[in-house]
Amino acid sequence: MKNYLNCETTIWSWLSTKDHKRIGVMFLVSVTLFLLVGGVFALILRLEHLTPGPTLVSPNMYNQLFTLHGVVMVWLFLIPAIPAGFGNFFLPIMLGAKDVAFPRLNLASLYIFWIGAILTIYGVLDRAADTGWTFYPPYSSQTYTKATPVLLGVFVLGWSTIITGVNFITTIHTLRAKGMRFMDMPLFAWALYGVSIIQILGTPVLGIILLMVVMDHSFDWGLFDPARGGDPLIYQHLFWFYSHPAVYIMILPPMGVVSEIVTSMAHKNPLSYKAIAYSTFGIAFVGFLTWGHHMFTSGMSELNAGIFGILSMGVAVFSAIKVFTWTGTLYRGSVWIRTPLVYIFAFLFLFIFGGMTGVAVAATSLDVHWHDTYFVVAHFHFIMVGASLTAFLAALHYWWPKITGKMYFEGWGVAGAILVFLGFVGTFFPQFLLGNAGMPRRYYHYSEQFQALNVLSTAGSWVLALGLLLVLVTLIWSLVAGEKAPANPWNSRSYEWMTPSPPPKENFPETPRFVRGPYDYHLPLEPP
Amino acid sequence: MNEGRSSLKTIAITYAVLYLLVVGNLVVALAGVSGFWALFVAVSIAGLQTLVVALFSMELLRSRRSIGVVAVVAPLFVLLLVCLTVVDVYTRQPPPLEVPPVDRSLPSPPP
Amino acid sequence: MNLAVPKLQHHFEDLPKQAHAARLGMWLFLASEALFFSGLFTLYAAYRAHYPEIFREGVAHNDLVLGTVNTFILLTGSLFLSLALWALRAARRALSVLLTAATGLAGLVYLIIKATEWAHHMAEGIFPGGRGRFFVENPEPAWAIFYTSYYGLTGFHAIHVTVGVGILAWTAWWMHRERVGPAAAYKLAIVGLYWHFVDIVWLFLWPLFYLLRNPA
Repeated sequence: MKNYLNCETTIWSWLSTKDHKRIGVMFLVSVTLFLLVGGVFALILRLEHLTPGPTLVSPNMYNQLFTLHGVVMVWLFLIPAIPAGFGNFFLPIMLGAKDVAFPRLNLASLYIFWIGAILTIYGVLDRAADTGWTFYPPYSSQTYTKATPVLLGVFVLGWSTIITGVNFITTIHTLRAKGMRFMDMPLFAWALYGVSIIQILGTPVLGIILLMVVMDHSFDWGLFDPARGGDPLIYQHLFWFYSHPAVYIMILPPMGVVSEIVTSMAHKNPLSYKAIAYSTFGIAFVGFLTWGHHMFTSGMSELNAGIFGILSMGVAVFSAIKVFTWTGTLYRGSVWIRTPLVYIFAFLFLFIFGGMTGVAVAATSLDVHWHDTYFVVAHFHFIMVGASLTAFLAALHYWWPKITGKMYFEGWGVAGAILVFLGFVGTFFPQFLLGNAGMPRRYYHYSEQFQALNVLSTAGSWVLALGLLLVLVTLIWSLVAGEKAPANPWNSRSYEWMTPSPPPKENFPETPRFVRGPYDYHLPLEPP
Repeated sequence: MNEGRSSLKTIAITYAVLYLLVVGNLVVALAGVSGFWALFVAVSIAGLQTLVVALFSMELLRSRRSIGVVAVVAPLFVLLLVCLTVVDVYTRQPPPLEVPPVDRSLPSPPP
Repeated sequence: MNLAVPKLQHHFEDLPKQAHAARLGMWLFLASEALFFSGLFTLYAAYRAHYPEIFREGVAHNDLVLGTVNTFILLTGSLFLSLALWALRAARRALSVLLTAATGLAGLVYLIIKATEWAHHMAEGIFPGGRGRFFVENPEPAWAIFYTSYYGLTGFHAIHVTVGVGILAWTAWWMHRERVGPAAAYKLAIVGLYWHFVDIVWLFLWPLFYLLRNPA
């Protein structure tokens, strides 16, 4: 049967496609590639910390490596991964649409992403930036390394995410199937709506502020140089106005994934659809009011520190609503424990852990102790890797049959999930202890007494890498040897499972009629 | 849908108001108003002009509600960013750019 | 009458929906642009809070006449564009093409005046980043900050005007060539949204860089 994969097969048909599914697949392949690149940087960093002194790389290279690890992971993997990859693929299908609102712009966003990625990678090859992914001036204005291509690369990548955001919101507003109200949409669409708001309102501020740093670095404008009357804190305000909400760009789509998988695997409607949908907006909005908690120790005013500290804790309320709703959904469901759900269990555990430590560092007095230590590193890795990456892997397994038309190997999948979880905890849990004991982040050397925990962390990173490698190899192998996937392997009621696997070019064989909601598990499953 | 036409009269009134506001802003400045009130009046007039342009020239009045939401939310976030940053600058103790020079002389030896 | 109707793309139900999508998309993009400029406005606001005196003197140093003339020019351009939209919806295409082109011309005149102003500044030895003769005579660092933010804000605005002029010229030509009728007026309206937005930015820049000059 003709589907979106085999309707045309030339390379040009892929490069010039306006099909949102193909664009989504190309995004997925790209971000997976960058996950590997960023992962290799991380492995070298961990290896360097095997011993307190020099182990493998020079001090300068160490600075460059942690910068590039951050830049690649944040802007080339975490931010585009779920929205631009899975979002592009599934949003129109979930709405019963044939495509996103602006298909040509959608393709443009892919090319802009590639251009930005090439600029960034070019900056990696030749005297890579050593500023940290936060590019704080005045250092970033003065570094001898080539910060400019990396900064410009991130600026260009920003436009890719803005276009994706504009496209998603317009699609949700104008292309829902006949009769589908907002409250009938699958929850993943709500998550994408929330993330698009942040992408549209936050990303441009990052763009402009990075351009200012480019001007500072290349043309010596001195806007943020205290020696010339500048105020570096203004940079930090503007940078975190984007980069804190960016954390929610990384976590809201995973939350959408969790909502989908939990309901599908529990075969039960969500405990409260509205709670999940509305709390998405709560997070998107309050997330914009918390940026100052990155600046508690930078000399910001005490009034602002107080305001931002209290507001930061507010985010936890909405996150907690979601967590309780998910666990409540699992309760008394007819739960199928498959690989995606195993990842979701990991997600829930790690997300709660990362979130609770987040509430702790939002308290100004505690933050003074933990700021710029490994405690903070561990905290945000629990959210970004522990939650976002596991949700990405969950989504990959959950939707793999739909995207490729092949089933992954269940046993290997579960094995991979367990390895990833163990590796992750092994890598990052010791870092909480290290940070609390006072080991600062971004330092090349560390004191002898920290070595035992660092060795543990490094060993954990190998297990994590092994797990990811296992996932990659078995998934690729399943393309060759996997069983053919049925249209609806999970007996899910969500709309993307109503079309064959893989879907035809127009998404549905005929114009879909959605006569029931996406979570109506009390109704019998109609044949696809 | 909003493909109806705005009448020439609406356009005339809209732009008459806009020109008047420009002149008003100029007059206030030339009259020598200064300090906080100068800033307040100038930015308020600019805000009023924005409202007129958005409602009539950009046809917000006749657009769907979804567009209205966008038009309200974006300025809100602009205000949020500007205000919270400026509040920080005003309330820092001591103002960081006026930190007194550090005393670098050696401490006097104990008696 | 042979009036072209825009093509309906395969994924939309009908033309009004497609028009609404385009309009909403443009508004979302403008929301993004507003935040883009807000970064620069925040720089201005925060540094004005740090250095109120020198910012005031800097504003007094700018040419009020040229700035005010430019305000009127941009506003008149917007008036032309509103009229052009009215004309196209009334199926008077030739008039609409003319008015759209006139809007573009107003933008061009604005750019020429703006460039003249910059040339004056540079002749005085004022360059971004606090370089030039002027800053040797006025070594207070806040002067450099003021003029760097001036060049930054007006420069980014001018880039947007330049893009707008290009789009307006292209639109006028497209309306003429394709013999578009009222059904395609929404496309002109979308160009208008962008142009009015650029106008709004200037309506804030004008007081901030030309009017707030009076000593306390």
